[in-house]
Amino acid sequence: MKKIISLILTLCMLISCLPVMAAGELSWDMPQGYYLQAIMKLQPVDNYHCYQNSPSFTWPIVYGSTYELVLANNKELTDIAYEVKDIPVNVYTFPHTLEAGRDYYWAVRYKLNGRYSVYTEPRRIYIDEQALEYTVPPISDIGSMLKAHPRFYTEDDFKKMKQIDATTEEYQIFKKMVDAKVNANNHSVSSVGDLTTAAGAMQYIPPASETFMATMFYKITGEEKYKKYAIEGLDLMKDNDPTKFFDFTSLTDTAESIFAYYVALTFDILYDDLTETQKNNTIKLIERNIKRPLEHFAMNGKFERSLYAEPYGSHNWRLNQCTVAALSIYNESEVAKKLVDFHFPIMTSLLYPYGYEDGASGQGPFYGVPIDHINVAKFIHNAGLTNITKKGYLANAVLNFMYLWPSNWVSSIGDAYNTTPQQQYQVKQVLTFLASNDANPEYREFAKWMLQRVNNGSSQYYYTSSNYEYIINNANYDTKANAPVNMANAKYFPDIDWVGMYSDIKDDNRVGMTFKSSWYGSHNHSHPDQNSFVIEAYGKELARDSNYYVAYHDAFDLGYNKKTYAHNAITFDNGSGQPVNALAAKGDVTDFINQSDFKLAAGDAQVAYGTAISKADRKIIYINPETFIVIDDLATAGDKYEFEYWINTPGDISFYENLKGASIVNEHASMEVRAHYPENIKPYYIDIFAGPDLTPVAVPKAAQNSTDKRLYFQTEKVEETKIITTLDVHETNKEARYIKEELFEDYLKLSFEDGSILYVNLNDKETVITNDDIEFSGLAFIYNSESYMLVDGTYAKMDSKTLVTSDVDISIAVGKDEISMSSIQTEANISVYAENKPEKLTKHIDERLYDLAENKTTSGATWNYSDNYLNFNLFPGVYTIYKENKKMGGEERDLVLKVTIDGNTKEIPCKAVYDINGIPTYDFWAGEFKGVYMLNSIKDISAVGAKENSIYAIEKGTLFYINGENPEINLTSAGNVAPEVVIIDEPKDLEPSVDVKLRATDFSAGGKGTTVVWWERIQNNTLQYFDSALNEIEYTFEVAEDGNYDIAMSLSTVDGVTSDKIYILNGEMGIFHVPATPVYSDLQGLRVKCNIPLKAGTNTLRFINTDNNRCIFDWIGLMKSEK
Amino acid sequence: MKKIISFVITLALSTSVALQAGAMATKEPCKENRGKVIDKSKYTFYEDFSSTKASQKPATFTFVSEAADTTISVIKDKNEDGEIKNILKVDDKNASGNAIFDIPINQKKGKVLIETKFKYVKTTDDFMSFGFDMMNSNSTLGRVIQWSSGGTMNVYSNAGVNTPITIGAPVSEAWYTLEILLDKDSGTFDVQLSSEALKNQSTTAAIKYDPAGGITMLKGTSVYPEAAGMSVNSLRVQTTSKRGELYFEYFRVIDGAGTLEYKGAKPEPLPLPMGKAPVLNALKGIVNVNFKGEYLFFTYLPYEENNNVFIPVKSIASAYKLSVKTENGVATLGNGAVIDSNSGNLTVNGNVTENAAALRNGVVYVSVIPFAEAMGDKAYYDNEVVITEGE
Repeated sequence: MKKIISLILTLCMLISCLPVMAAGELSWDMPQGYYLQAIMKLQPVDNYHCYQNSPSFTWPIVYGSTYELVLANNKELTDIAYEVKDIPVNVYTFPHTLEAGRDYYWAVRYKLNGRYSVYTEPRRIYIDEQALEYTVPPISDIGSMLKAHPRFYTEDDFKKMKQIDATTEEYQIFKKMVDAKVNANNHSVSSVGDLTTAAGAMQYIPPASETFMATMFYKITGEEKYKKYAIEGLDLMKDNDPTKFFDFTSLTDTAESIFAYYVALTFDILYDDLTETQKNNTIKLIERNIKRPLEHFAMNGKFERSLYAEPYGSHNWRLNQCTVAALSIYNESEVAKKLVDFHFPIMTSLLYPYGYEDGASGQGPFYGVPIDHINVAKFIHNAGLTNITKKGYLANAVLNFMYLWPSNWVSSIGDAYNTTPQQQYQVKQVLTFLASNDANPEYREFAKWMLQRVNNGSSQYYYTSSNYEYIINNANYDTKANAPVNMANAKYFPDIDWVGMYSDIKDDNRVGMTFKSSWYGSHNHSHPDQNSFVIEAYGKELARDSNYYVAYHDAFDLGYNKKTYAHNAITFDNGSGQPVNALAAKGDVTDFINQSDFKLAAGDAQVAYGTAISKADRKIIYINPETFIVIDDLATAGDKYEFEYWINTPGDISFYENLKGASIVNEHASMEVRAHYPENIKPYYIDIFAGPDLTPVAVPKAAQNSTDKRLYFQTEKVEETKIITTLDVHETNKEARYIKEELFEDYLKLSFEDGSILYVNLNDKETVITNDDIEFSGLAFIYNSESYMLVDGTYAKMDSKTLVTSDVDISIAVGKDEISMSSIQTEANISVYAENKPEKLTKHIDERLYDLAENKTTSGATWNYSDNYLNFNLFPGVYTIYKENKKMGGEERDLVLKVTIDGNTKEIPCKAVYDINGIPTYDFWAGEFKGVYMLNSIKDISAVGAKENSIYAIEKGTLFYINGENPEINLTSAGNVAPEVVIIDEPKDLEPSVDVKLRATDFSAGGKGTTVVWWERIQNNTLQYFDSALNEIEYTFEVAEDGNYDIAMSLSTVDGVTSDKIYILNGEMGIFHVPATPVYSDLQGLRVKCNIPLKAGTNTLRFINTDNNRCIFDWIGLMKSEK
Repeated sequence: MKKIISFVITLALSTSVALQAGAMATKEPCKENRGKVIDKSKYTFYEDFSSTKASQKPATFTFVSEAADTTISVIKDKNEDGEIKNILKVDDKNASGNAIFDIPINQKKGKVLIETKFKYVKTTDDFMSFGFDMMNSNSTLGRVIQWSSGGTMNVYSNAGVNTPITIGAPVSEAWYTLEILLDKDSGTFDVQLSSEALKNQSTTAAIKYDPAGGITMLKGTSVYPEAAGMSVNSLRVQTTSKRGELYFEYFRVIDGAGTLEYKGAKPEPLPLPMGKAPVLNALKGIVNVNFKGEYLFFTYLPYEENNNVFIPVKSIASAYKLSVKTENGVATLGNGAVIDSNSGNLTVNGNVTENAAALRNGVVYVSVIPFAEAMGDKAYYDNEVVITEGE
């Protein structure tokens, strides 16, 4: 069934979807000359569970047609519930909500030259009872709906601008920047430099953006000088004509849109202050700057090659900003009217081509930051038109961050800069908006919480000099944030086919995985990486997208980034993978389970591999909290190929002696990669940016410091095989777990230390009967003492008791008062063993709860109970259902946090909140304890980088995530021991006294996590470079005699900036101050009189940076203290 | 030292790439592609116009469109090396009409290499726009490159989605070598464009001048929707709506390009950094059972009662590689042993041990030491249960 559906997915836009074509009816053949991959998606897809009411409907364009959309009560479309005729465009959102809590069949047909086509194949959808309301009123008369100027900001907005917190550093910096221009009456002009390049074209914008910034400060401060500057700015650029600056190319095509947007906002705000001449000039200015976007993006009002035909060109969506510009002069300009009338329907029904309702982006979280849409949405709503912020994509946008780019999580899938959200100001901007957006109040709370997380504890918006249209968002909400205590630790995004699953989404030290198998293929900023994943743990990447995005489709991007083997995916035939930049290279998430003990993400990537591969299923079982099992089920189309299983990592790789596994160590996080099946599998190792042919590509600067390496396991040449691996995460200072592997004729059995036992069906036998009284039909079965999970099967029995049966292949996990079921593509009837009839069942998705009454369909689920079995009928989808004993979070609990420093304990009361897992949680921002410490012990607190018996730095934005009832941390200040430091101007005067030393050329034992750069200074004199806070280096000395020793060294501070370093010698810790040397060539001797007793033999010395100030070492040694 | 070594290796390999790239820029086009040697005997289509009479058109092409004032014919002209040869000239004098012709690509699967060498000659104030397209009959599947009227050459990184890499205006009268490696299995193609004329162009992305190798090379990757059932069966050359002349020295198609041998030896795999596999340790916080040197894992935890250690029957049965069936609190093993939690009896080979079976949380447990002894092994307790081979 899955194959059929996947085929339909591939061809749905190509083939007519005809049931039977009656005589004279037109077909839905492809429009002539258009590429299959680029046309509008037919959605909602079949069996879609709509959490937006009304859903937005889109379908492929047929030029010159009008359309008729029907929602019917039956598949035959004879019992019509809703019908809309004469729709002029191929998108539609109802102006009213639909009846919720039920399903419909929808279809569309076109009418061309008086003839009708057949209807598209009816698609079943379910309108959820708690769906977000989103409607699009008829826009036939936008002109009359538009409010008067100023229309993009409300009076309330202006009031809030006056209340903005002007004391923050960010505000002061921002204001200083504007004042520098305004006070000097210095206006930028657009004619600087070569504007024909992408960067150059941006130089067209400053006159408009600076004018707008001044306008904002006029509204914030009320000072006339800003208004004067802004109006002068409008006067000065009144004749700006982009056609005189640059051609409209893919490099330059966004500049005038942004320019027009800022001019329009200024014009709108200052409208009443402008003379008639100024108004007319500005109207013409805006008109001139939206004209080419209208011609090229909106095809001058024609649909051919427009967004309605090919919505996946990201630049064309600059029309959103052009629409704001055009709305500012809508009633005064035919050009503006034409643009708005053209773009408004697709904007309100699609908004963003790579997303739909679930808040996430098919381009990945990095490109899913809806920065270009949110402010536009607000302006359009303020102007009296549709409230697009209530559209699912924006209303749910916070989920994109919580589950696909959570705090302290490096975003590496797809084109990305490999940063955490903390490092991206756009994330803060978007979260600021979402934190003030009233479209979805619960998620507004989560946005506040998330903003605090990525903003080091502050809810204040981090200003930047771009995208400041809604700077006022900063001031407008209560900064107390509710943590998402009732949100699950895993989420499936059905619109983009991604999954995020974690040990605890609220914990920045979380272990987790993001997995994708997406409809959006490898198109644009997506990569050929269907069925790939990344794994991170404790803030470190373990299996990453080995992707260093510098420029779109440059040599490295195409030569390496966008190779399938640069991702944790499958290749065949020595590195062949999925095609680049292909919307057709699709994946599909086929299963998702979310239960406390067991989670599951599954995908089908066969389509992405093309005709050579006939099966490419991947199922990933996640045993909470640290173990992943990956089952790849692969087959060729007939030829024999090797298959390769890839893991890319920034950590160090070392293979097991049996060559069936490897350890990956990335500082304090580690992962064991084991290949359990097939038996004949070969390991390979690559430490350059290359595939199996080891042909490297030129490495861009951004990747030159990369420590990325990769391993792959390769099968023999086969027509079909399974590859079964485990990815077992652990802290580096803890021992790796053993996994017991037993291979039987029909199945593989894996036993885990936590008691979980997994059986994998190796030969696709209809029924697997294990030696130990487990029987199941399906791919795999796993259980522990409290839970079990059946993967892609129809029944499971244990000890003669039938646990679950289903009429179709499903996945299901049961235990701990939770039932999680997955039948994404097919309606399912499932019976689950339950000794007693539950008093209550509740469906849980995101923050929503649904009481499921017996024999009544609610949110797609219907149930009853008979003969010890719970019987479910499920609309296709995924379900997490709780029994009555499952406790939800939210209850408060008073806790005391104990912080002990140097023996002194401070008790801090905390109002913790129980989460959905029954754990009391609380965010304590620990900046008050700023300092560098030895961490002696920590309990019920998760803090990034905190590990016992290690150096730990608390900074201004350090978070203690309390996740237990007795939180306490015990620290010893590093600064308590600060021995005298003696400077010896000439290191050669010190050197003879040193008993044992290492020269830079011998510094081969730089410790883990160290940034070390080797470089030649003069002739053979090599120096070691050491510069980032909390970097560590460990040196090993062979001491000849027992005795008390000092540390001696020859070094330079390079930049003439002092530095403090922590040392740990033979377990004793202290801190020493490095006085400044003017330049690196001035080496100086330094003796740290620490007087530490050492035994003869091997002794280790560790240095830890407390700051980012640079030091380079020529030599380091130990000398007897008595000297 | 590892970091230094790794750095050196990277440098060495980079150098080797530069040398390869240098070879590509020589006057023998397509000598190498992805490090592979092209065997010219494998050309399945080779058109250098040598057998076409002057003023005629080659019979091997399909001429789709030829607007008025546009001529396509073979002439005698100099190639890049100054040799007089038959050259195909496309003279588009028509400001709005097009010249369109197709060359066939017959291979159904695998990799196909398509090569051509061409130059553009500017003849008026304006210049021609032309493109190379992947075709399925008359349907365009994807554009490879296009010389735009804006004075730039675009190499398309995605057919139909208009994400060109702009490499600057081409030079009139300069010869360009275009190589397209088409992978019909994965639906991708790589484009390599070589020409001295490109050296000093202002470029934005994938093309660059490498001073070390003196090379200007562009390599793009794109896709056509093979997966959707549309197969490339021709390369289309078309001019559009402007004025100018195009000259082609040859067109070649090499089937089976993906099966060609590597130049030189296939690289040896890198040595594996070695470490150690995790070992099996006693589990913390439970009574461990060391079964002949291997600790047992427990789904349901062992417990002690009356100086006996009870463990789930399945755990010990698994250790002995015995099957187990459980029904109504009675576990029957593959060797006939019965553990009856109802009676508490353990029966092995007819020998009954009382108080050795129990039911706990629905799981049948057995007292492990009597069980091991009944199986003929030695078993004792020493901070953990130790089972060793019986004599």
